[in-house]
Amino acid sequence: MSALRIGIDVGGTNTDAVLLGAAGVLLARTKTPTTEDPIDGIAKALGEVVGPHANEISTVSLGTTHALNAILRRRELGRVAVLRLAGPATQSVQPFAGWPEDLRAAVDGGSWIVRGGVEIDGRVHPLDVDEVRGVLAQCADLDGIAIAGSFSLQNPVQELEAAALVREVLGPEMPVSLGHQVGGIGLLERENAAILNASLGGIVGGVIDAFVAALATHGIVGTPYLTQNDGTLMSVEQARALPVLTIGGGASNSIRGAGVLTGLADALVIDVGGTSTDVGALAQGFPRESAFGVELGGVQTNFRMPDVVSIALGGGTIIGAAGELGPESVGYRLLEQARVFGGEVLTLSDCAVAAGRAAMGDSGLLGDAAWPEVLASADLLVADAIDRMKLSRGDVPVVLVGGGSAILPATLPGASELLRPADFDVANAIGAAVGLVSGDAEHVLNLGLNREAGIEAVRSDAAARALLAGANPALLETIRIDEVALAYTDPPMSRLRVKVAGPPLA
Amino acid sequence: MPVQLDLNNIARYAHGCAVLGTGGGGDIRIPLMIAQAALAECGPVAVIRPEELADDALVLPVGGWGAPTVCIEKFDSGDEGRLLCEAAERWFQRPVAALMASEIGGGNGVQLVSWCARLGLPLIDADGMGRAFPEGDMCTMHIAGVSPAPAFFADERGNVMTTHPIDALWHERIARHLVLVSGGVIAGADHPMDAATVRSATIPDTVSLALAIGEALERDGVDGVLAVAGGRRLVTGKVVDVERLTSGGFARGVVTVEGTGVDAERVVSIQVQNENLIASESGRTIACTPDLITIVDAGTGEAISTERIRYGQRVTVLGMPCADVWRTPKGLEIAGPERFGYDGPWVPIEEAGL
Repeated sequence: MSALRIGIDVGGTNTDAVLLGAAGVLLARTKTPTTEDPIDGIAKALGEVVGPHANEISTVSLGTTHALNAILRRRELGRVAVLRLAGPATQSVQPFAGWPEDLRAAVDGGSWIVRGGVEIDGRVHPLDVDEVRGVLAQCADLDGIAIAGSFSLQNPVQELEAAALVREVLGPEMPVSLGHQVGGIGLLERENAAILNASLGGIVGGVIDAFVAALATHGIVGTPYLTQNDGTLMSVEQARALPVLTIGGGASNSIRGAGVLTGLADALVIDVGGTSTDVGALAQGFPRESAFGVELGGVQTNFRMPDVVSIALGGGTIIGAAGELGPESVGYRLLEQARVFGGEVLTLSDCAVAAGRAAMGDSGLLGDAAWPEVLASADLLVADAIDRMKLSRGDVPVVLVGGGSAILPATLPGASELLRPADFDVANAIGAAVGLVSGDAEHVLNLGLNREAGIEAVRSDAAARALLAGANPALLETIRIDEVALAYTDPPMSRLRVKVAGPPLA
Repeated sequence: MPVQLDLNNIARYAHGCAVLGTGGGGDIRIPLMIAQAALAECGPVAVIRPEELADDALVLPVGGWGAPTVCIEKFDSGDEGRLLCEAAERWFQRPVAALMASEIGGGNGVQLVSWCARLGLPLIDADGMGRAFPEGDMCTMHIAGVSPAPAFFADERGNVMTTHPIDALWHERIARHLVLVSGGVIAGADHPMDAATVRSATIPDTVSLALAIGEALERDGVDGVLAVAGGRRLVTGKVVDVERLTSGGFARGVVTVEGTGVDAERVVSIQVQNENLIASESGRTIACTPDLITIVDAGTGEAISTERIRYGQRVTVLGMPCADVWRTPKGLEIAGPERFGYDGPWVPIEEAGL
């Protein structure tokens, strides 16, 4: 039986790939420059790691920045109609409020707030079906329809009814994004998530087509998956429907990979690159998620992304004439421009070599230009980031990954130990390769009713999503239950999130 | 004093309201978006002192009631202010001359700017709390003996209700039921007054104060806020513990801040019930409701609401004196520490010492 897994992570500088054996043993690894069209680098990396094993691959997981770049660069985005089901409530803030003008210009295909919506107790205000049909009749030439209704997480029935009307009026080919499938609590943020999701269908669909084609070219038999924001995997069918969930795969993959490389379930993970350092947290084997929604390309969403503190500090950080620390960096040109590599620019890597922390290049080229004292300021910045990310006062284990981590010292305040696992520089691809498949659900729970039944309902919603994403139903586990009490609710209510995950079915 | 709120200054005003919110009063984010949309559509809102109105001019204190979580799923239709004013005008048989915030703190100080803009009404430079409080009877009109009746309510579906509660406590009880019926949030107007009464029954100049705080915050950060609001730093440091208790549907808890820099070795804990109520150090109270306690980001000076406090944040805790009216026996009975179930007596922040 075939049990090999491939993981690929597309970063800003490099595309990394690994081939893992049955017990997670690293069989092959590669780093190749990320290409103008990232799919070229993906195909190349696949070819380099698969070797003679094309017939033995069970899963191939891809984490890619295509969707994020499309949003940041306002390119290849689809035009979307927005249908908000809430009127007359919420008319005081229209769809696209607060969006950057250029992004809105690229995406806005018209928006309507129609009568309808759901109340916190699940009551439904009826849709005016003729009104919705009339709106949809104007949307035939758009790339997708985003639908979001108030309290649709409590009761999605009205979003589903509107989706059926889209199929009736515009045919089954018109892509539909529903708020309750992509976002959490917060109507405006969920609506934004649905809009971005609808606008990303084209570009992510193209990536998936090319990915599947590259697998065929190399004769690879395994099931393809994409990594998503929480560090877990989803099937390509799911990724076509929910492309926006692929945006945060990169940081999650590094954190998951650090866990795999060290066997730790709870730790802080410091990923040092050429330009920046990300400090994230591994909690019960998964990346800890941010407590609040994130802004994407200037748009407020309620996606939970990995909770990461980023500082402008990396191996390529430029040291000024008076010993100033960055924030500019030579980035991926470190191997040409740093002093120890014969270049003219004094970098943090040079200082690390001068202080005896790192061995790279030729220390003889440094002369007396280096400032080993600068490292103390850099260490303080990292220690401060560790302190911000810790959830309690005690020291915690810290895992160092990423190509630039040689600049860090042997000990850091707040770290009970510093681990530098082998293959730390491809932790992201390893994280992608070993990903589990997950599902998330979030409800407002009425604590006056049967609490256990309420929790079970959320759990079963999460499980259904995990199965849709391609998890093995026999091995699903509840990973996490988060509950927050809500102020001024009567009967008392809480906000409950449940995550379940299991290995891929393949 | 400002002559108007407009698209240029509304965000600064809202951030000032957040500082006066003492951790509560509702998030300012969506109210700010609502106000910006209305100001863009209808133009600026004039801010006036009650002295600028005739003695018998009708002033309507307004605000939102309900759960912050509902407000992020289901917010204003934009018509609520008109419905409230029309209900009041039907009862009094004369026009509403101006609106006033029942509560300046948090989102409640911001939302009504949109109603003023849409109705072309001025905003009174005063409010009924000078901060945020969790219950409707905790207002200066109650201290002054102004009846909450008649009270008017409007929801986003267009339902309008008029009530005639016999006192402030019944008003609170009835309003909470109407909130439920309307699905968790409702707009309300109560303690209707003539302008002459407003001059003695409210806290003056709080709209100007919120705007000045927001401007100082943008210009000079935390120091700017203190220069304007007249308070002092209780501690600057790091949040090392957030204990959330979930009893009774209120966001209760204790936030512990460990001092850094000049405050190293100090530990200040803050008792929270939707708002920040008591700050203490080594068992000694150093600031206490009704004085204002606001936790702000140590870097930017922006207020952090109680739901958003978390471990590791670098914060400055500000203590600011409340309006004198809260320091009277009646004021302390309504909003002093005993009212919230803590041991008294109240100690004015000027005398509490650090």
